[in-house]
Formats: sequence, C-alpha cells, structure tokens
Amino acid sequence: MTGGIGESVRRPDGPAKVRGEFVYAGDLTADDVLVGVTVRSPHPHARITRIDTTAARATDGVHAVLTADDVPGDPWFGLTMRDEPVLAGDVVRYAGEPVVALAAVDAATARRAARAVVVEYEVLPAVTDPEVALTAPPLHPQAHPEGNVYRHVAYTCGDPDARGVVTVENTYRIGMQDPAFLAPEAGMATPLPGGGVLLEVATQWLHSDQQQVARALGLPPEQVEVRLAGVGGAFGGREDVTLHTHACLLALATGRPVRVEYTREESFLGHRQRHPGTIWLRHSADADGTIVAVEGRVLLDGGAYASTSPVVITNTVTLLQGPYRVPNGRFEGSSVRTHNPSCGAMRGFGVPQAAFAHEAQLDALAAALGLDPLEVRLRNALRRGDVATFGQTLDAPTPVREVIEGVRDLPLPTGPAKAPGGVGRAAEGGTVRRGVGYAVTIKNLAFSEGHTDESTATVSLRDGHATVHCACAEVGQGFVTVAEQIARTVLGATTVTVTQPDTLIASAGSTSASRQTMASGTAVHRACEVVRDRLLARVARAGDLDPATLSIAGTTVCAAGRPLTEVADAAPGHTVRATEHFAHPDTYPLGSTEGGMYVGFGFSAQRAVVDVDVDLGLVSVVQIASCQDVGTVVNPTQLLGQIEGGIVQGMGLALMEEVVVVDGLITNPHFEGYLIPTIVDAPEVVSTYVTDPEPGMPHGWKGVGEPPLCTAVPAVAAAVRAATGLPLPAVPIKPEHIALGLGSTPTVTWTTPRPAAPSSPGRAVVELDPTDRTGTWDAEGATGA
Amino acid sequence: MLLAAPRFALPETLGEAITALADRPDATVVAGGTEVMPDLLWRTRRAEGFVSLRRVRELRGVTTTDDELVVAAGTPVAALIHVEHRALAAAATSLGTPLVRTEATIGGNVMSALPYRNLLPALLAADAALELTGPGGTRTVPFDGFVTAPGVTAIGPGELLTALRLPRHRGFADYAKVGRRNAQFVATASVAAVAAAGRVRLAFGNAGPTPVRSDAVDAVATALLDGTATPEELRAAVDAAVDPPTDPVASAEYRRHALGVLAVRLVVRAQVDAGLGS
Repeated sequence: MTGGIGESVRRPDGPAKVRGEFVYAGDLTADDVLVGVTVRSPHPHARITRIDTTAARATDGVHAVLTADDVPGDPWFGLTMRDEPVLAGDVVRYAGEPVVALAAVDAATARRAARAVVVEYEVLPAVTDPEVALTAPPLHPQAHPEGNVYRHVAYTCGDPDARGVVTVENTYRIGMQDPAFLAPEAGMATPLPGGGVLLEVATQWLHSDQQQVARALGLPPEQVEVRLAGVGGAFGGREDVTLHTHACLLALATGRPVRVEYTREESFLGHRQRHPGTIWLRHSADADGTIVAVEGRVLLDGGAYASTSPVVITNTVTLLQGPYRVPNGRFEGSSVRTHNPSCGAMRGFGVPQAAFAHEAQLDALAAALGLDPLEVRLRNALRRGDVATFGQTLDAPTPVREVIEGVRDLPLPTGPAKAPGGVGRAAEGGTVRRGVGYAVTIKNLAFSEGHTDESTATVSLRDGHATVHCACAEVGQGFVTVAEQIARTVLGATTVTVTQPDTLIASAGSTSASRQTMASGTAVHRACEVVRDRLLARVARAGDLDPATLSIAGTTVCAAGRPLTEVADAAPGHTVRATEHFAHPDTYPLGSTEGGMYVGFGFSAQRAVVDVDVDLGLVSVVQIASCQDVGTVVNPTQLLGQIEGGIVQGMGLALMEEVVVVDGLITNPHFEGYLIPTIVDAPEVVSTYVTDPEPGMPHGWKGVGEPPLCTAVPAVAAAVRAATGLPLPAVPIKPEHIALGLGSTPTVTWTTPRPAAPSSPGRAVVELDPTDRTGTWDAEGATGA
Repeated sequence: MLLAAPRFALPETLGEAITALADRPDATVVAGGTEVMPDLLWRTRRAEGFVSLRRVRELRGVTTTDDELVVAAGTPVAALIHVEHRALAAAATSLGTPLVRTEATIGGNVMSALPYRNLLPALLAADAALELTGPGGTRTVPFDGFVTAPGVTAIGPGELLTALRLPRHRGFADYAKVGRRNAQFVATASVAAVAAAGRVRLAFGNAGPTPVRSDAVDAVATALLDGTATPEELRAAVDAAVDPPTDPVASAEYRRHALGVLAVRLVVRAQVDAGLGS
C-alpha cells in the first residue's frame, strides 16, 4: 500500500500553495461582484447618538449601506451567548465593533463611502480592568443583566486544607496572543434563486456559521449554504462569525455577489484573541516532592462579548492540576466581560494559561525542596486509572511518565549557538548564559462538558477512485491528506478526491480542539468500511463467493488471502456510496455524577534550551526537544508540522507575541508591532512520540495539534528562568523583565504537615463563599507585566 | 501613462527630478517605497502626488575618493552591506529583510528621520555630511543636526537629498541594536561606534526624538578605550545624554539601560579590534 495511514503522504493542496496558485478566500471573485467594507467604532465604549448614511448612499457606485435597522432577523449572535449585535445600533462595547456595512462597485469607492458615513458617539467610560469588571454594574444589561461574569467555576476535591512540609505560591500573568494567521478574513456571498444565499468563506466551522448567519438573516438554515473558501491559517481565530453576516446581508440587499476582505488591522480588531489572564496558584508538597494539595484561582479577561469565554474558563481551571496527581484541591475561576477586545478560541483553548502557571509552580516546588525538576514531575505523574481533581477517571493510556522519560533521554544540542538578539548583533562582547527548562502538560482533546462532538462523511468509490465529502474545514491542519490516506488504506483506492466542504452534508463540528482526525477521520473511516463491505458483497455475489472470505490488501481484492481482482476492476462502472456518522461518547458538565467532562487527553513533554544575554534581556531559543503522546502516527510529516508549528507559536507567546491593549485600544494591530517568530527565531526541533493507541479510535489515533503549543510556553519560560535565575512570572517575557529583573519571586512557606481529614467530602462542585476565597491577586504580582 | 499623469513624475535625470519637484511642491518624494507605500496602504500618510526617483541613475552607486566614501542617496541598502565603513555596513545588514533591503534606499532611511531607523546612528557616528540639491544648486550640510524632530529634517523646499559623504574610515566601526525578536525588527534602541586615531565617536538610535551623540559621552568612551575610565562611567555618561521614549515596546528605563550596555560593548569590541582587550 502506498499513500496509506502511517506514511508521509504529501498534501494534495501543497503544490498549488507553494507555487502561489492556491485560491484563498481573498482571491474569490465573480461577475458583477461588489466589494463590502465595514465601518467600525473607534471607541471601546460609547453610545451611538446619530448615524447618517446619506452622503455614503449618494456616492456614485454605492449599492447598499446597512445599519442595525437593516438586520431582518435576530439582531444578536454569538457562539455561546447571543450577546453580540450583528451591527451595533445603540451602544458599542469594543473598539473596532462593526456599526455600518456597505457595498460598492470597487474597493476604493467602498472605502470612500465608508469615510462619508457619519457616526456620532457619546463616549462612555470603558471598563478595561477585569478585576474591576468582576463587581462592576452590568456592562451589557440587555444580554447579561446579572453581571459581567461569563462563567464562574469553583470546585474542591479531597481536603483542600491538607498540607505537606512546604507551600509555594505565586501569581502568574499571560498576555493576549493573536492567532496571527497570514490570510486576513475574507469571503464572498452570492444571492441564490429563491431568496437564499451562498456564503464562501474562510472558516473553521461551516455549520455554526450557517446557523448564526441564517438566524440574523431571518432565513431557515437551509437557505444559507456555506462553502469553505481557501483558508490561510486559523488557530481558533476563525471559529466566530466576523464578516459572514455582513457579506450575506449586503448580497441580499443588492442582489449581487459581495466580497469582503479585511485589512490586517481589521483582522486584529475583528477576530478573537487568546484570553489574557491572571492565575494564582499554591502548591503544598511533602519533602520528597509529592503534591499534597493545590489551590488555584483564575481570572480571564473575556472582553466585550462572550464568544467561547464560558467554555475556555473551565479548561483553565480544571487543568490547573497539570498532568499530576492532586489528591486535594480547591479551584476557582471566572471569565469576565470588559470593554477590551473579545477573546475566544485559540489553539490550546485556555490550557496554555494553566500550563504556564502550573509548570512554573512545579519548578518552584523543586527548587524549594532541592529536588530535580524532572524528579518532581515523575513522582507526581498521572497514570491510567487515576482520578482527576474534576472527578474524571483517566481510563485511556496516560503516558505522562513515558513522555517525560522520552524527552529526558534526547541528546542536548551540539550545533553552533544562535546569538541572542540575532541580526542586531547586540550580544557580541557580552555574556551569554545557557538555560535548560522542562515542561509537561495535559490537554483535553475534542469538545467537552456535553457539547456534542460529531462528524459525518460520505464516501463513494467507483473504478478505484474514491470521493470523500465531509464538512470538516481544512485550515491547513491536513485533514485533506488524512482523509485520502484513510480511503487508500481501507478501500484500496488508487486515487482520492476530497471535495470542498459545504453545508450540503451534516456538520463536522469545528476544526478546533485537536479533534478533526478523531471525529471526521473516524467518520470517513466508518464510511469507507461500509463502502468496502458493500463492494466486497457485490464481488461475492458476482463470483458466488462467501463475502466473509473477501478482504482488501493494498489495492487488491483478495479471496481467502489470495489476489482476486484489483479494487479498480472489481465493479466496473458501478458506484458504491455510504454516509456514516461518528460521535464520541457523551460528556457531562463539571460536577456531574453521570460521567466525565472530557473525551480524552493528550500529554506532552518538552525540553527547551535557550541562550540568554542577561544584561540586555535577549533570548535565543536554541533547541526544543519534544516527546508527545500521539496515539498513532498517521502522517509523520504532518505530525512534525503540528509539533514544529505549535512549538514556534508557543515560544512566540513566551517571548514576544502580545496584543497590547491600552484603555481598550489595540496599540499594535499590525505585524510591525505584533511580532511573531521568524525563521531566525525558530529553534531546532527534535520530536519523538509515545504511541499508545487511543481506545475506540481507528488505528488508535488521537488529536495532536494543541499540546505542543501548551508545552512550549512553560518550557521556554523555564529555560529562561534557568539561564537568568529570575522568577519571570509573566509571558511574554520582555527584554526588560530580564534586564531589569522585574517580576515577583514565588513565596515559599514551610508548614507543619496536616494530612487530609478522613471526613473530607471527596469531590464537590461548590460556589465558594466570596469572603472565603483563597489567595490574593495583588500581593504576589508580576509587576513587570 | 504614468509619466503623463500630472500627480506622478518619473524623472530619469537629476535635473528632471528637481524640475518635477519644483512643479509639484507638495509631492511626496519616493525612492524604494518601503516606507511610503505601507503608509499609504495604512492611510497614515496622504500624498499630493509623487516624484519617483527610481529611474534616476545618478542617484545610485557608491564611490570613494581619497578621503571620502560617497553614497548616492538612491543606493539600495542591500548595496551597503559590503561598504568599507563597517558601521554603515552593519546597520544596513540588520535592516528589515532581504526584500526590503533590495528596495529601501539610504536616502529614504535618512529622510524618514524616525528615531529608530537603522542607518541614522551609523551616519551620525561616521560624521557624515549630506549633499542637498535644489533648483539653486548643491549645498553640503553635516548630518549632525539635520534631523530636527521625529520624521522632520532641515531639508529646504524643492531640495532633494542626493548623496551622503562619509569620511573614509577603514578601522573599527560597528553598529548593534536590540529588539523583541532576532530578525526583521525595529530597533528598540541602537548604538553605532567609530574608532579613529584612538578616539571613539558614539551615536544612539531611539534614544531621543532625534539621533543622539554627545562630546561628553565620546570623551568617556575614549577614556574607556584607553583604560582610563570604567564601563560604569560610560554607562553613566550615556544615561545623562539620552532621553529615550516609553512606549508599548519598552520602557525608557530599559532603553537607557540597553543604550549603556551596548555602548560599553561596542567600546569593548573596539578594544579587541585594536588588540587592547581580551
């Protein structure tokens, strides 16, 4: 078999992308196409006192100018809460919020008309401090009258007041990371006969878009057909609706196709960022490093609208324990509404924040006890059969020890060092210190807490050519390759076409949460198995054979193991087709006694080696070695791509990537000011795997896309700490944090051991009394953050 | 077509360029376009027409006389990477990306006059002079003092920057900058140094609204080179001479610190070059 599961099959869209011939969403066009643009609020919080579109409408070449009054259906949308206006009508709640959408014959005319739109605002005070927002009067009383907390999560397990000989605690801060995909948001809406609309758009989740757009348009969902347009990166930032509804409204208003493509600045303003947050953690341990209790508190700034804030917070809070056994704990956290940019899904979905904090704590614990950082991690490593703090039994392979040992044994770099500061040549003549740091993480895979995680695929086979139809959005992760590999392996197909995803088939869910190989890959696998069985049944009937004796090996149909015919010749001219559905077993909300919150977990360990110019605070990441729990290796090249990409994106968060928001305004909505690592910054990556098959999954595959990012953030931070001796409790680590020694040191307290009370209640989801909350935010801060 | 457009001039000689600018006094002069074009795209700049210098051959090339390195203002940064003057070469090498260096010109970098532009401290440390050509002829002014505010220069109406003249220098000269990543970054702070006849001349980028140098700093730097001052004394002198900004990239405190550290390192490099250091 060539091109099957386990091989480095090349991407079908690879040559076109490399040659610059791939059609991205921004390349879409049509006869008579109009160009749509968006007029946005410059204020983070203001009342709209007047909108005058007269001059814009009067501009030659302008075909439609739409405001909130022109939204025919539900004026509110959103992934979880419907709290975001399609177009702001009375109040704007973040800087960059869409107020007017208009379409004109070309981009220049549209932009000119946009400048002619008059919007008058009464500027209102903006609440941009999430700590203030926690107790402030409701910022969005229409949608959220009870307050500003998107979700508050609190639970305990065991006896949270149990103590070993030492506690370490600190407060950690994580900056706002942007998905920074290279192709800005783009799409084209085309009116369909009968009143519907076709939306071709770069997205991660076609059916979610369809539901939200249809609702706003006041149409039944089937009247809104969504088709995937070429995506140039996503990382979570395309999970929410942005230009989708505006393009469709404009197309229906004008009767003509309308294309919308954001500028880079609009892209920063319009999509969701990773939640910035503050995490307080206190670990108590015995002298040998065994964790006795963990207490933690999280505050995530969700920004102006909910997006996935109510979901992200649960990931952060529950995974504060890390990949470690924690018998006693008290965990709490909130995601809160402010007038900052809205935050939502981004690769890692709340876990990089937790991982940065818990790994810093493990190192602080090791330092306090004089133990080796890896020894402390190995001593506490979760194992299969353990029960997590949030009550779920880890009943699948849990190779925490294995990934740690895997990374520990990899050779250290021997190549020439890359100078910190790179091409600026600042380090010459200074002192460069090397640091080595480790991190280990747990990442939940797939949707959680009862959110259905499912996919559907249709596979047809004719004369050895397989066609796969699935609504799984290809955003660069390589589902198109994996689907092809599955069809070759199961069906013996000689050629495979994966059709462009659309909403003519049932939902595949979002391309997020490391889930599409598991969900859509399994749906394709099942459909292929049914097609194979039907084909073999047909061959059996034709040849009067027992179908039970037939199988496919490579591209050959075999009878009792002996070649009978080629798959391509087995049923000439006949198409065999099947549609199959896959859903993971149900999950349940935190605290449910019916079952676990999460579908499964992936584990990852990394070792980062950095060189630091301590005087100037400049860092060069020399090497990152990774050992990841991947179930099975489906495609070695694509897997390495996920590891390398996740590591570079994670080191970006650790060292440079930050959307800097001042008084509600993004100060760096461009790639001159928002820095992502270049190839000069990227480290050597050494990648190894633990392949313990995931139960219930074909070939034992599991999600791999998020863990490398989650682990790289704390690994790089640990290595810089090792090089500098500084606590560095905030990311991104700025040169001045190192050069000026900013950031507070963990507090170490020696305690009298206190075993868990025998009567401790076990696990409980509780609303902690606000006056009884643990820890403080202000005392132990990252002052340089 | 473009040539016929009243708002856009594409002269082929310096004389045509001067005339074109005289005809369009409010036009934006554009050479490589690496600053002007993104500014237009981002709408942070408005242009009342353009005079493009791309086809003016006289504005390209590097020549040397007995005592001067003469760089025509339209010379691309990529062509500076191997020039004799090592401060200018080093500043050119770390500017932008290869694509940007191919288009960006030395004259554009000077006329941009923003505090973080790479070449400014190198030219200041090199004691460069500028050739300005207008309808009335050519005048030569020192680069020191030419930048009067961020983005503002002392160029006269109708004048073009046509050449940069650097005293020939084959000895130690260098440039270093710090930023938030290891390639393709704007200088958070930068320092250039030129050592000649036992004296050190330093200049600082993003250390104030305009490129900064001071005799007091150079005196201490020279003393450090001789071994008669300490690194701490040079850092203190730098601290007294600079007035860097605080912005979302870095605090003024960090910039002060980095400027002092870089100054000391460049003098240490000069010592090593002179065989004086370790």
